[in-house]
Amino acid sequence: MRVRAVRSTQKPLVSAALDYFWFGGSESEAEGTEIESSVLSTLGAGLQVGEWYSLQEYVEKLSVADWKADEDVWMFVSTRSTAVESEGRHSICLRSQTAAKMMCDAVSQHLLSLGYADIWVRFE
Amino acid sequence: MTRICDQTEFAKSEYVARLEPGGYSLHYTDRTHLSPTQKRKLFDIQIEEPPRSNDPNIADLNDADQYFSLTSALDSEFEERDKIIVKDILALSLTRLGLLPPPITAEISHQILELKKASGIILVPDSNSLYNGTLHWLLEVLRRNNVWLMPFVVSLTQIQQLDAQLKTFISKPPQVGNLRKALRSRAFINAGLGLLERNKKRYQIIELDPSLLRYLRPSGNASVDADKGDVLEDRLLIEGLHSILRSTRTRASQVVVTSDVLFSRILEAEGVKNICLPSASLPQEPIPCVRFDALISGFVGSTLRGVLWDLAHSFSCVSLHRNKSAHVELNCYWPGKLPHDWLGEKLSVRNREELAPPTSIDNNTRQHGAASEKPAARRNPSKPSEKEESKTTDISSGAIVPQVSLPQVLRLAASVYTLGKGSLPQILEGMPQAQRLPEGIAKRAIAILARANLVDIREGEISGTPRLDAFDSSLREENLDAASDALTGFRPYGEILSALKSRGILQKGEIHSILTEKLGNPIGKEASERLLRYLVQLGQAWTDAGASCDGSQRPTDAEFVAQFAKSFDATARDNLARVVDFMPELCRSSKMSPWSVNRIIARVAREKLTPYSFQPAAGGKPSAVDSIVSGSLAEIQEKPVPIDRIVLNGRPILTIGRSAQ
Repeated sequence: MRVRAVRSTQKPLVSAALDYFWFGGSESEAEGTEIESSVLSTLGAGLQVGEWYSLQEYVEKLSVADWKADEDVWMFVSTRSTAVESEGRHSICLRSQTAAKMMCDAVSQHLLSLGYADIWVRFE
Repeated sequence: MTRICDQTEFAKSEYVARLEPGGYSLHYTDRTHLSPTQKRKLFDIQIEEPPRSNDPNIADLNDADQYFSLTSALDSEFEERDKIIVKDILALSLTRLGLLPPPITAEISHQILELKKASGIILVPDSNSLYNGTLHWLLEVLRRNNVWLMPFVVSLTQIQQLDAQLKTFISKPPQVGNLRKALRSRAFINAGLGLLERNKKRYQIIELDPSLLRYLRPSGNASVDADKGDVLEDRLLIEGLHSILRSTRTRASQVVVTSDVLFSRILEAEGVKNICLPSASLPQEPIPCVRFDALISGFVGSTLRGVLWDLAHSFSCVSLHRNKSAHVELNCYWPGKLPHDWLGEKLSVRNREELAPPTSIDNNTRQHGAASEKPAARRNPSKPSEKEESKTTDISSGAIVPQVSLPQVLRLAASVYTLGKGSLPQILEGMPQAQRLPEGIAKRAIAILARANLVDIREGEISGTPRLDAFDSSLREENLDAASDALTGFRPYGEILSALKSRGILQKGEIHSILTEKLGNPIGKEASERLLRYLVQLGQAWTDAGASCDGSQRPTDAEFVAQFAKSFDATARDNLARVVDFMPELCRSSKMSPWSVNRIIARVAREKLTPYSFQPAAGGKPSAVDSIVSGSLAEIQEKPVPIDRIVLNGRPILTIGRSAQ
């Protein structure tokens, strides 16, 4: 699962090829951050892959998400270690919803902190 | 046996490959300010993993590293001011590891997003950002850009200064006051040099006119006003920056990275582009081992191995505990650590089996030592049994009192301690060339160590016992009483000590007959007389007019103060006593050695000897007949113990005054 953010005065078309100004998640298989996008459907927040949400709408939907609905589903994420060379990249297993929450929270916090009013967000 | 590992070897090892899920705790000890037996708690750790399953997808998960969270749980024994330092050092470590982000404002986010658009970036880090994790983080944020690092030579000079200071701390007995400087220095040295090592293909040191380095504050900072030192250092960096910016022709963005707000503002005022990344602080709530970082655009984090590895380089020795017993221990220091071990950032690693439960010579081990002298087979306790002897005589002497000096015994012990175990030739090979013992003497030394239960001899191999660890710790702390206790397992030593205590004074000529009477076998005269030197060198006896006097008594503080007053009265004139008169009087009356008198005075002078004044003074060459052993096993030294002076805070006291009542 990836998250893409664009700046646009109106809701972008689903098919539009826009220059994104922020992107989160794996850009290639090699970097793989393997959050299954199916996690979104377990949250009960009405978030869907491929749909553009205004930043405000995105934050509101996340605030009502049920992050404990499927807590026994585990996955692993590929992470980077910044200090220890031999640990460069490694996989750590954790609950899918924990990983998804980490990602969604960090995205909303970052995008909100930028102070732009015209941000649109999409899960891919 | 202790294993010496570099990062890669440790990562591949089984030490913490897969741990039972549940609660653990992480502790540290640091010989600069704690004794090896004092372990201070840092974190509670909770390890979680998915339920075991035959599902192939779940099996994949089992190959991944375990998830864990860390919760700050600082030991209650920390003083409040020390807690602040320790929390800071922990936060820096977790930032380096990626577990904590630097606190980023909107302005910094914009600055970084702008910087990410540049094709080439030159980062000029100040000294703090080399180790506080902010540069580690920024390099990850900019991993898709071409980044060059240009640290200042000043940073390396500071590392050299801090390293010299740290070495001074390590070579002396631990002092609580060393905590702040020791932890900060070690984190700076290891993390700073580690970062440069890992980025060796993309950094270049910015040189400065060497004559300007005089503006650097000395590490001891006693001679220069601290604030003035900071100002001069900052100015030195800024002038260096201007000179580099003037001389560089490049289209790459040049940015100074700092965590110092004032420095950042001054740079801003002087038109130097910079990013001020504040360092993180340690949260109270659990810290997960992974987090999503929006500016890195991905997950960052660390395995438990990485956490242990980085913390060991800041805290000297860290251990992971489960149910109050150590599971694994990583140590930055070990006897005989070689230059290439430092270069390879190697650590000494011991697992659960290798970690002996008691690391100090406590009452239990003393009893154990005594028990070993009560053999079931009613054999001569000072001599190995025939069965044992047949195994051991080829590598250890069978003499009841082997003739060998204490420093020689300790040098051999150091080699065993370093190697863990080995045959006699291997143990000898492990000794520095200049100190290598002839085989005959080595066998005698091994006999003494084996009978004191400091080493084991099995099937031709000599290995250190847990008591050897404790023995080394005692020497490091200059706790000669504990070291002497450990040696009483060697019965001739114990008998002579006991005879001295009961008689109060021993002449050299009496030793042989005492031992012959006690041990009932022919004993070498010279070898037995040499044992007296052991007592002196371990602070249990002292020499007075050619005889050896009992110096093994250890009165309570109150008893000592009373004895001190009596001896002062006996030797003072006009409320002034010369130490050369006072010290022998006090040692005779209290049955303490000058070494132990010095130690107790250093401890109680300020609070319990308030009527007396100890004024340092320059004096002639110290007058010393006796010497004690000092340092660690690896660096054993003989240190003279002057009888004509007391040494307080490293300064000689030749006279003691008392205020007139």
